[in-house]
Amino acid sequence: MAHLLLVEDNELNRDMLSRRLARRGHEISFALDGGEAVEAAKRLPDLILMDMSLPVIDGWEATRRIKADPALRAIPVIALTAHAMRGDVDQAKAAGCDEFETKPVEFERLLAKIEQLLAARAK
Amino acid sequence: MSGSALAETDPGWRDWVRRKHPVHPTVLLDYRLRVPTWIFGALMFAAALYPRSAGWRTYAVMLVTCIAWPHVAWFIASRSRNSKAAELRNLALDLVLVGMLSALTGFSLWPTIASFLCINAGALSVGGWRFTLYGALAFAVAAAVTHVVSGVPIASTSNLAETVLSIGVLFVYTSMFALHSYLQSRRMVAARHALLAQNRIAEEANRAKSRFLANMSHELRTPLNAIIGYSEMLGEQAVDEGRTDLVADLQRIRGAGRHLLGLINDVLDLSKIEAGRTELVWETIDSRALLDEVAGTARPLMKKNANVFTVDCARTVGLIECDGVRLKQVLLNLLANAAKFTRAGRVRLRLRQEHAAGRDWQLFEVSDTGIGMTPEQMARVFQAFGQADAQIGREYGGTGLGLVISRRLCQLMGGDVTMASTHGKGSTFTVRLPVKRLPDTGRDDPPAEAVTAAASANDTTTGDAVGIAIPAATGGADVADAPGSVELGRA
Repeated sequence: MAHLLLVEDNELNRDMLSRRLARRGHEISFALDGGEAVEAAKRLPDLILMDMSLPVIDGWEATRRIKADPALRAIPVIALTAHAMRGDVDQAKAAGCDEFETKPVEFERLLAKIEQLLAARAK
Repeated sequence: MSGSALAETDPGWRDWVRRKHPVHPTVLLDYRLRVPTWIFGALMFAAALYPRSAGWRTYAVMLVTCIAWPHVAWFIASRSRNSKAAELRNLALDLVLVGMLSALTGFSLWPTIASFLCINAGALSVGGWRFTLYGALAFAVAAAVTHVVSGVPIASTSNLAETVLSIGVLFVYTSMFALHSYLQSRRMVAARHALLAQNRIAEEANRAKSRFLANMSHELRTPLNAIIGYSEMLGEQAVDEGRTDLVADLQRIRGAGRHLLGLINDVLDLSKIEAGRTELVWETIDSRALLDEVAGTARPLMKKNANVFTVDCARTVGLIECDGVRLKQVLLNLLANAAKFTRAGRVRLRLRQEHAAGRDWQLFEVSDTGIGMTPEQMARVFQAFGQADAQIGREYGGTGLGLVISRRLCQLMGGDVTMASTHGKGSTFTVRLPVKRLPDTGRDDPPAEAVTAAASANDTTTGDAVGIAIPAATGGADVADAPGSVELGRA
């Protein structure tokens, strides 16, 4: 049972993804844009799922800010992008994302990545 | 002359003539030079013939040449099917006539010089240097023959009237020539400006198109994410609650959603390739490692139609320089097709190297014992949406874009995709890419030769399909609609 922060501006995707994650026993909190994400990160979730195309502050910038904060740096961030562009992967990595997943997500693989990052952090 | 004046004042008439009798530009050039020049030419020759008390026949030849001939030449050229060839014939006759006239004036110095210089320049500008050489010869021969036949004595001096009128001819001719050249450069500059402006408009339109496609792609995917995600979620719930009657239908929704996603990805991919906006990431690739990875991903696909899958790799293969992700995309697309169109048969992935056209090539062959193609179908498979025929699309699924994209990608990487097929027997698709370096002779790892695995019997390899991220999920498009198939885009 882990606490996941889901940053996603699209209501349907937020609802769908959070319900599926909750069914697998995770506790979910939400942020709707990059600014909210940085604030919500201060409540120290175990892991952040970050959509990249967000209003106000985009996912890349929000990730950069989280990773720049020594208190928040350790929280793993999985980038979710709608574009399947290679540039997006590089950009996500450059921003400090720990993992990367293309939307629509392959749910089992996303779960595996979440478990892997949580396990790595627990060590 | 009257025609020319009318042409200048009445563009409607001129346009009508142009539409009715389109002529080669040199015909028009020569007409414009001939008409005003030979009016002065007539005066010049008259001044030269008068002191030699020439007969009326000589004057007749002169008047026809100078006054009537330019219009007759225009008439002939503008009404012949090949106006350029007619123009050259007319010009050749011109050279002969002027040579004759020069002889009839007893080679009076200035008129001979003026007429030769003008006709020579005309020949050069219309017919080129070779034509001009033969023209000068024709001029000389005509002059010599006329001199002998007419018996006009050579008196190579000119009186004042001949000299002044000859200079007039030269002045008019060179002025007309220069004016034409000036107008031509101005038209060229204007045309270039227009072309540049058109290019700018086209580039802007292209950028707008790319932006539109990128936005559309995002806008189309967002609701699709929800459709696919919710159908997957409901599928899980249905399984949990024992509602197995719903599972198949939910899988159909998910399958259709994935198929639509594949189509969107393919169309976007192809548009980017066509717009020249595909960015390749060049890297040095160990083809054997890539082959193993691709084979691992493709193996589960082969199980579906109970196909036996074999992988062969030549003992010595060099490194290639290409975009590895794109190459995997291409190979997986070909393998997915092979798996799809073959039932209980064999699919082989083979890597070998050959020397052709002065360089080394690596050949990735995907051959199957599937349904094959007729020559008519083969002619269409590399065309966008040109799946061998519509029935195939309905029966086997797929977007019909995979092969087009594969081929374009390989062409971008300096290679190509070719095919051979026999209807009912099977097909072979060959990816050919240039080897950029010599084989690394220092390698000592065991050759991955004849890695043979019968997919139907060997299930332990199924889990190999990890970690191959194919951002543009093109390769997966053709199989994405099959429920339970591996999504190549995110295998």
